[in-house]
Amino acid sequence: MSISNFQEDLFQPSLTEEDDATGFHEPWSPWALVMLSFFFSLASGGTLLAINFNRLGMRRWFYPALALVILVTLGTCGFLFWATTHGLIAPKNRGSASTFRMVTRACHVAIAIGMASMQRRRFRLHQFSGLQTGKLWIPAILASVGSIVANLAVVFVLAVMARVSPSP
Amino acid sequence: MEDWQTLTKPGVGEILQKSIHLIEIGQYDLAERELRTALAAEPQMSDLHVHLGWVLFQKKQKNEAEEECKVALGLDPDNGSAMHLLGMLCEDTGRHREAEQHYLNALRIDPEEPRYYFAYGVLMQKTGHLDKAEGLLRRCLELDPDEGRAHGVLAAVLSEKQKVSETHGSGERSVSLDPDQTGSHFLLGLTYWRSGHPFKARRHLREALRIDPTNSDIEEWFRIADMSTRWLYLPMYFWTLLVNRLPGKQFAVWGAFMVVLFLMRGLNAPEAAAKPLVLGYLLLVIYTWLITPVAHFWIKLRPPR
Repeated sequence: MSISNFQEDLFQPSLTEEDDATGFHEPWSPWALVMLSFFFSLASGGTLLAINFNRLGMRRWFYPALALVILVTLGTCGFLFWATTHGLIAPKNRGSASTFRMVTRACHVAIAIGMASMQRRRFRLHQFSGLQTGKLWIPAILASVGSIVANLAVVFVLAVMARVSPSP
Repeated sequence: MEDWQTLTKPGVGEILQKSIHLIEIGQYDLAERELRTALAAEPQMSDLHVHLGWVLFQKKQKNEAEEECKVALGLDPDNGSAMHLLGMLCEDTGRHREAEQHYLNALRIDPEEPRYYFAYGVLMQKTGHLDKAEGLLRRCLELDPDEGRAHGVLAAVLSEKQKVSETHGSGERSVSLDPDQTGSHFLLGLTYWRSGHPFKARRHLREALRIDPTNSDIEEWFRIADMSTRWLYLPMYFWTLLVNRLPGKQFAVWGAFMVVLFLMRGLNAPEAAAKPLVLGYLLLVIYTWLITPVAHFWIKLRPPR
């Protein structure tokens, strides 16, 4: 870019609707929600990340994000069911279970990081505007407890399935 | 503020001069009274409305300030100062697109006015358009090399763009131009902290706190910088700086660790080779989790001086 072009660019408007510091409702730190996704699966952190789109005033992303979280969570359960019934994951084989856990965790964290990256700019703007950040403790605890209950339910179903199905 | 010299009524010029001085020393109530007296004598003078708008803005009476700007622009549509102030008012209430339009209008009227470049540059920095912010602030400094605040904000922009070598130069220049300004020391402290110089950061933040002891933001950042200089926390500080530059931050480290473990497992590496790696990672995780509360406890035992 030449110097004159650069000077001309200085006089061109650059801001869009997303640059207005309006529509914030005490958003949470997206990175804290990625941490939550790491420890308590995408069902907890991802749901709060979807809600955080609303809190950051990015309403049009709320439903797509929520749909993605639901799809990935169901997909993970579905894959776990399929892999268990096809003998790829044996509940008594710690190695295969651990590999599955790590791979799903990596996928969940990658998706959460993607969602957090979309929120990074708005959250930065929120911080630079000196506005109040939302308190995360209670929603995080609720989401984590919900996620643990859901995971225990899945484990219970799988344990029942493993007991019902004949061992190879 | 050009047309005050062409005042028709005697005494209004003196009142305006007096009110400018009162604004400079922060006596806004007195300045408002003086300006209203002057406006009673010269209601058609656009700049008087801008000055009154500025005083009202400082007194947080933003709606009234905006009204004064509009009156000023009604009297003189090419009043750059009124557009500048209107931009600041819009920015203050989060209407950044509107603020940008006002700054651009002001710049079209007077493209040689450094204040307008500075205000627009600050807006661009705030909204994360760092390249444009850098260009505007550099232009501001071309027009007025002694504008200390522009050096300070430019240092913050360069720090965020990780242009470390240039960052410190701009920040130090800002402090040398405005040694008694809280903002100069605060911004330089932040840029030093972000670029791996916690001791220098602490010194400048302490200086900022000395100038303005009631500012809670500065106090908070001074505590952070002070914690970063404690020898127990120092490794964590440099680790955080390093990790924050990675895409995915600490998860990138976790991912790399998992990939190495899987590769070792796939290559049937001996268990003795994996053990130090796992132990090292475990120690790192324990250290990074525990060090912040430990450092806080230590600060309670030995508070910063």
